[in-house]
Amino acid sequence: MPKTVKKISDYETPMKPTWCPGCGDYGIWTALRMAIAELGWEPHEFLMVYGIGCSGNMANVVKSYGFHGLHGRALPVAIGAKLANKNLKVIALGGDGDGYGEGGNHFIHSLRGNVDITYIVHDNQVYGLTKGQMAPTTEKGQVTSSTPEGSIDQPINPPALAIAAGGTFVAQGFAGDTRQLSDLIKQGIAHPGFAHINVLQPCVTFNHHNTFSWFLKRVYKLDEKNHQPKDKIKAFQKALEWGEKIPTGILYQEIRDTYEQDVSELKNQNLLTEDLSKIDVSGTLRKYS
Amino acid sequence: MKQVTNRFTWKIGGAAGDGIMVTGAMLGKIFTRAGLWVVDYSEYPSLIRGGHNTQVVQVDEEQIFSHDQGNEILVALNEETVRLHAKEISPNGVIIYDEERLKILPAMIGNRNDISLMAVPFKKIAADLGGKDIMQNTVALGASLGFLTAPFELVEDVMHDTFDDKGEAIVKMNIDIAKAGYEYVLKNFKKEFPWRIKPKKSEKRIIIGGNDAISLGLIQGGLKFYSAYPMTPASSILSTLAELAPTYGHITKHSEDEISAINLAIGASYAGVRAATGTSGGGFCLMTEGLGLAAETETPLVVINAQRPGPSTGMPTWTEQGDLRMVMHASQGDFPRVVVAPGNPEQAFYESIRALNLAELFQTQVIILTDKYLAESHWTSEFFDIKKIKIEKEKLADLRANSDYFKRYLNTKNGISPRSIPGQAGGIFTANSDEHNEFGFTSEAGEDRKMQMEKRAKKFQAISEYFSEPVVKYGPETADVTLVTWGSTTLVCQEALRKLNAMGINANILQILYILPFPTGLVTANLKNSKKTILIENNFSAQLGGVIREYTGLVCNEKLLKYDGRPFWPEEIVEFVKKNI
Repeated sequence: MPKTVKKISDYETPMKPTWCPGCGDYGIWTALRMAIAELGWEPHEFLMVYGIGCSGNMANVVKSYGFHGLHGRALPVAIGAKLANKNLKVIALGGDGDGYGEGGNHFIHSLRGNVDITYIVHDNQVYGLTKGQMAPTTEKGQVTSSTPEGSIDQPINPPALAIAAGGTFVAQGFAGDTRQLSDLIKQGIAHPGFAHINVLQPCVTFNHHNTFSWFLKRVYKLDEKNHQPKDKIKAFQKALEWGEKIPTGILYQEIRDTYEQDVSELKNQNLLTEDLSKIDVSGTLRKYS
Repeated sequence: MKQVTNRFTWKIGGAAGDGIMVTGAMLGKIFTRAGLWVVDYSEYPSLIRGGHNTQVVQVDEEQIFSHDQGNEILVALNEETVRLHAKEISPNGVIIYDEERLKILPAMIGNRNDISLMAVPFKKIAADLGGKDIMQNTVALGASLGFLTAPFELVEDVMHDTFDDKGEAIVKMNIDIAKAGYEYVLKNFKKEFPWRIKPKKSEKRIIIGGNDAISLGLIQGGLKFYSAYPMTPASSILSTLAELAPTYGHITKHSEDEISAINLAIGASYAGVRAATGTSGGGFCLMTEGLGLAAETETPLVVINAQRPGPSTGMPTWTEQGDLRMVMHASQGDFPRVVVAPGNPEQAFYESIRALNLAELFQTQVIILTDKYLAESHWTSEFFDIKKIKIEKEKLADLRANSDYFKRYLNTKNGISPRSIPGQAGGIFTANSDEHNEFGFTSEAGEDRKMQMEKRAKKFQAISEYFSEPVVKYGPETADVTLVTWGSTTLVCQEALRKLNAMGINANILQILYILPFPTGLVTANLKNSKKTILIENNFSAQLGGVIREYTGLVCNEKLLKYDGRPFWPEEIVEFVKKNI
């Protein structure tokens, strides 16, 4: 089918977003559709897998095949689908409580496995849909509805964790810069392997500390002059930057075999198109005789 | 002394790490190839070295279903084996042991003088022929066959099969070592041993356990994706499927936990391939939310639960049927699912193929419920007929390429909606864990909720109509007593039935193979036609009995329950029947 020029409205659905006015999620929604439109994907050509939370509610407003799974469990569904049909384009999308709290184990192990999917995380440092409790990325001392005397736990640093766990593409974007974020999503999609994009996303309703203006004063872009993403130690140093200056861009990238490349059964075939009519286990059964 | 041909029980006992299960497996093959029927059963604690491990191999000319309490040959690799099991040996039976490993004092065998003690220098024979310590078992195997005066060629064949991939030298060494054990007994045992092996001609049969039967059934049923986290007694399904992956082209994924395992399988299934996951009760607990996700999104899924005694870690390497109620009701909300409990390896094979068909045809979740006894024991079985249950593929929806959205959850007459898979033009929809409308968009409207609930429930009427044999009957059509049971306990009931028949007691068995959707009509009719019913379950609270009562309003006359981590002995069932008839 010849590719037609796509617009972001080509990926809209009859449903309307349910986010609060001014939510950072709108920026991510826009950046995602910009990236896909620029890649010229047909809506039926890709699969979006969502977790549960404000981020996951994007499931109703992106025109594509979608799977709106369980809280924290978007990654295994996305990976299962990709392994079943390695030609399918798969993007998983979730939030910080969803992906780094409930689904933290899947996050770590997905980084190890390096299946060729893209994982976008809305990191608003608070629980939105359950109304303002502490998230894994909430800054220490921050008062939330579940930590009225201030959060005691040290926050997770998602990019640093991703690099340490064996991630091959670790990036950070900002919901207030859709152009840059859209480019990061495209680069993540182009990356052969698991691409993790942590998106700094202000929650206008429940996080009055990490606001748009708070971020705007702090975020800066990594470029060729100030950062080489192939250097793991330097990438780790950049990932740890938080406070006065917060880096955005590709923090770390390496090329390593994808999971699919290392599964011998996937080398020359796709599970989805295998012929089921010729299966005959008699040969194996004879070994039991 | 009266000779007994082709009917005996062999038992071996030792520490974990002694390699006793390999020896039992080889004997099982040897006797199956000799045209006889074999069952084996092993008991072992949850550790890798030490502890007390046993394996029983029982042989008969007629089909047998479970092992008895007695044995005729006891191979003792440690003192504990002698102390614990000497009392089980039949008069004129023998203990084979190595004096270098243990001394047998009269008190250890209860001062019995009706059994023989045969010292065979396992270690020395193996070492003299260049074998490692572990090959003491091979000496024991040869010695056992010496007692039975079995033709030695049987051993050679099986050694080739077992060790061919390790090279000719290893095969030859094993054969030589077995032969030395065999000849040592022929030369040195001067008394009479009444039990004999005489090979018979038979159709080609196999000897297989529940886990391998499920693995092969799933492959034959078109499985392409299996994800799991190891848990006894389900672990060998993962390793067997992994080993066979290059041959059959499916993939296996050892995931980070059971939550991931079920979600991976759901993702693969959603994307269009036949997928399954498997675990034991504890892992199944972690999977329950995923089970509900598959139900809400109507994603085909097969889940195996090989039960072991719970709650919690319970007794990891033992058996029980305590998870029936859990799998019937697991996950929040109110949704139907299929529960099938195969009662032997043959059913495990065929029902695994059918499970994949059911899951796909009805876009539903099928739970295959087994237990450690079925999963890890082995039975001689007729060669499985791979054509008996064919793959039935769902017809994918006829899509219009230019249509915007697809009614994936269309409310059809039988509840089964047309399905598209990602990548198909014109088939766009969202599989949504939120309640949804016919397109899959989130909807909290009362009418959508009601429609989708009823649609999911309607499929189960269609499933009930699809079945031919949700219950299985054994024995005469009418009998004085009917044993009502499920899962692996069916095997012990079958063995008890053989014994009851021999005593002239007229009994039959009703096995409930498909517990959900519950075959209410068939069970009601069968129970009403029975003169006396005895419920037999390997659990504490008679879970099937409760289910029968729930669906039929009927209560079995008597019940026999066991929950000590062991399967029933057929003798226990026979005694109970005799007392209650």
